[in-house]
Amino acid sequence: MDFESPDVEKDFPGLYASESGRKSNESDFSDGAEHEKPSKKDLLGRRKDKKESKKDRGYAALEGESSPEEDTDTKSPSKSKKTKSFKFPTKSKEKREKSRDKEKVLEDAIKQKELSEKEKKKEREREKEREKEREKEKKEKEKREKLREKDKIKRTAMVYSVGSRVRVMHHLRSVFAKEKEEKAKFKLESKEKLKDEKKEKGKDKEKEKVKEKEKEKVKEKDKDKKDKKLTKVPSTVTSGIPFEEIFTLGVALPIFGVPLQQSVERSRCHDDTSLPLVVRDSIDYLQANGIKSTQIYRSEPDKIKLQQLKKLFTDRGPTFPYHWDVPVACAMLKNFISELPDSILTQELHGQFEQVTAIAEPQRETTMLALIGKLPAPNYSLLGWLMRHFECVVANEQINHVNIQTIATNMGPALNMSLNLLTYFISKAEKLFPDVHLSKYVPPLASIPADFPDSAQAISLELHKQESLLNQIHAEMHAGFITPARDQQLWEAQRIVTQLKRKLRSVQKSVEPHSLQQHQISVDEKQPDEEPIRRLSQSQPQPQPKSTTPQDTDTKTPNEPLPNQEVKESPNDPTFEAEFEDNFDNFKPEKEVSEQEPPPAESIKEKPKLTEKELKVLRLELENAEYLQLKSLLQAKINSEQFEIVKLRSAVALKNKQEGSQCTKDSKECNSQDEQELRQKLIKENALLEQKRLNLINQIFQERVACIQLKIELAMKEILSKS
Amino acid sequence: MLETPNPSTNPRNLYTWCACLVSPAKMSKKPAAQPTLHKVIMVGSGGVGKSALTLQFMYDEFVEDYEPTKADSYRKKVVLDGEEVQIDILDTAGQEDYAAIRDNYFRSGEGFLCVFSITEPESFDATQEFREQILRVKNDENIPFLLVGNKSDLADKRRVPLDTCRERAQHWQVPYVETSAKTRDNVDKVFFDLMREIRSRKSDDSRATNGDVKKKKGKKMKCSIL
Repeated sequence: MDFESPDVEKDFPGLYASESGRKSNESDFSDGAEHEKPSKKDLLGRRKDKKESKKDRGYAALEGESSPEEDTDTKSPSKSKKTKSFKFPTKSKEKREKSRDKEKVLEDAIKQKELSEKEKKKEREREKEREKEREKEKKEKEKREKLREKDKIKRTAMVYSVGSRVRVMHHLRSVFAKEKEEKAKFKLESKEKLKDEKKEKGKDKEKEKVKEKEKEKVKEKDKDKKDKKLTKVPSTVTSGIPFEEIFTLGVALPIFGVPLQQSVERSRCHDDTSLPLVVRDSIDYLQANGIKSTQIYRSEPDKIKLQQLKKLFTDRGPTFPYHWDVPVACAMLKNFISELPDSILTQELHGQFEQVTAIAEPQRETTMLALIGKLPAPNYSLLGWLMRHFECVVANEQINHVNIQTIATNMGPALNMSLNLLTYFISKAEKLFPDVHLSKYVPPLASIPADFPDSAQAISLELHKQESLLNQIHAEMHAGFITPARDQQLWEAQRIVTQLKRKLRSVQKSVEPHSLQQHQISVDEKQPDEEPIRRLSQSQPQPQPKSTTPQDTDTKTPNEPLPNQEVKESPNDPTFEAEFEDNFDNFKPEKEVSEQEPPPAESIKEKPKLTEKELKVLRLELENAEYLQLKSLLQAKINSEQFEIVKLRSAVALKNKQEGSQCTKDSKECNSQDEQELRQKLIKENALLEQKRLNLINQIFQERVACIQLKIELAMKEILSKS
Repeated sequence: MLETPNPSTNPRNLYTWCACLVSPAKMSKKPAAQPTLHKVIMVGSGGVGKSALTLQFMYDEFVEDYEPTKADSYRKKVVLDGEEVQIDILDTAGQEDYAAIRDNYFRSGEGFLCVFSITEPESFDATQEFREQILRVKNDENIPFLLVGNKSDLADKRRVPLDTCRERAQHWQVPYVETSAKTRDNVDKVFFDLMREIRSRKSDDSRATNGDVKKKKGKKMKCSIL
């Protein structure tokens, strides 16, 4: 008996695999051989128990959790071990796991009784919820809402009445955990993951259905966010438990299995690449550690590790290097993509993309480019990043033995595109996605270090990230996720933003020596820390002092003497701004590039040998960085000018109102010859001044461009000498 | 310059002091940890000088040119009645455009400086709305709150009579203080007064959670209300 059961499994693997359904047990019993099996397995388990008990103690708690979960299917806890054996496909690995499960269950029966009962209850609740949700799907949205609400309350009540804080602890940890806690959690969660995986394998199809439903639910949730907020919060109040401990951000606003756009919004990279953080981190990891690995897009990942990582991303927790390895990163990418409800190429365009591969070459590329241009931004970046990444992988075929075929077999099903199309994308990645550059993501800083770079560009870059982070926190809070921790995060992010803004302003001020000298002195007296910044920034961005000072003078000086002239002048200002804006529009495509790849230093590290092409790229990047800096400066100027205009206009309007009629009469009466001469003189002078001003602006701009070129030369030489 | 102290401030401070005496264990714990943090929020219509007050308090600087704030946050270590504390100041937007963001901050604020300009009756009228909004979000009538009439240096342009201001403050049962961000008049005072209120409020709360002291607190609270 004892030795029979494993053989049965080996001989008829399909038997167990086919019984994937939840309530498939009944069908099992029709088969005589299988009917007996549970008892055999039990015996087997006991026997093994004695042998292996010492090894696997660490798993006991885990298995305790996992076994009850499956019980829920039969809803009789005592059967748990038996039913398990039926459910899963009979791969040897899983067998081992199963048998271990049993051992644990028996071995730590006393301990587990408690745990498993709790888990069972929870599981039953979950099951009920799922079932209810399925029913709900048929009903109207509003009804669904109410039901879910009830479920939630029930669930919370159950969880607490049972007194098991395990789940809550999970969530707490995942949100606030530091590394040690993370490791502890790793173990705990790995159990959960284990069972989940088993379940998934066994119930593939059903699960998928459930998932789809859940996805739909998610969509509804988004729609009804506001309603939910109202309903959720009271429920937490009544139960006295912080809202997020029961219903985490990850549960309510998942990032897996939702439309790409949502995923990007919920877990964004704060440097304007519209990629979900999961994708960015996975590609970053692979680019850094996987390109030369023979495991890339080939090896199967450690499932536990994968699930753990996935949970971390879902809960927006931090990840640490020990969470990652090459197969896991590949699988993470695959997992994310395959869970997307829509094709990367979008439903509408997918067919067209496939058709384009049939077109002959010269036209193919242009049509493809046009099609790619139609993709929404998140889809474009995801596709671009993936293909550029694959391109890198395939380029190292000599080392990692991965070719397009390998990638196609590994990722093809997830990407859902033909080999032809994938091959085309990968081989032409550089042409098709010219503005996608794989750069490592640097998340927003948690605090501003004392040695933070002092260049306006670095500051505004970080500022931009922090503001993006701040927006996300606000969005999460508006979605109803309000916790003391998030409040604190909000204040901290806001403080950093303020700090950066001040720093940026002081850097910019330091470049405008005339107009704001007085202020600056007072600032510097109180903030000696910022002085070195000023000196540095003065030595670095040379074009700015030249540009800003004349600009200041020529906008301000004509304004001061004659208040009436302001009205004449101000309409000119917008055009003047437009001139600059236009000039910079030309650089926009390049700007995007530089935003994605801000640190040229990094690219050097990654590619120690600089080819001519790379040099060109580097030069362009530097140029873009400079122009970006210039742009932000000018933008600031424009803003202040605009404000000035508004202010002056309102002042003029006020004066006109007050003395409107009188003035006109007066002016008509006093049209003596002297007056007229004076007026004509003034008008002529104004015209002259205007001409001069325009000339100056042109000169300034040219000089600025020259300065930038020179700076880039300098920087290039420095880089070359270093490398 | 001008102020009508909240009648509840003084007795409360006394109680705090008493509480310190009563529970020395607590006091000994505090200094070991990070200094206490008080979260202050500046509210008021646009252009009344919230940022000016904040910057004057933080960095002793007065900025002439007006630049509308979206939201800014500052932290400073100060010595409050011999105890080192930290103050977090959140400078909010006066403009309605950012009202949605403001709500998120109001929730976590512990004390509020409601600022208006004595030269601008509209800004004074707006304080009513801010007060209501705060009470709605905090759901607490006794939240530490100061009514601040700013720009007291522009006395010749005054358009909100002092009596009206005092009346409103009395009606709300909050202190009224007039400040000048330009001359730094009463700037420290408003922040420190508010911190004291927050502090006494916190110790009230902690006593409320402590069973022993609860009775005492109940009695004294009644007195202060009377």
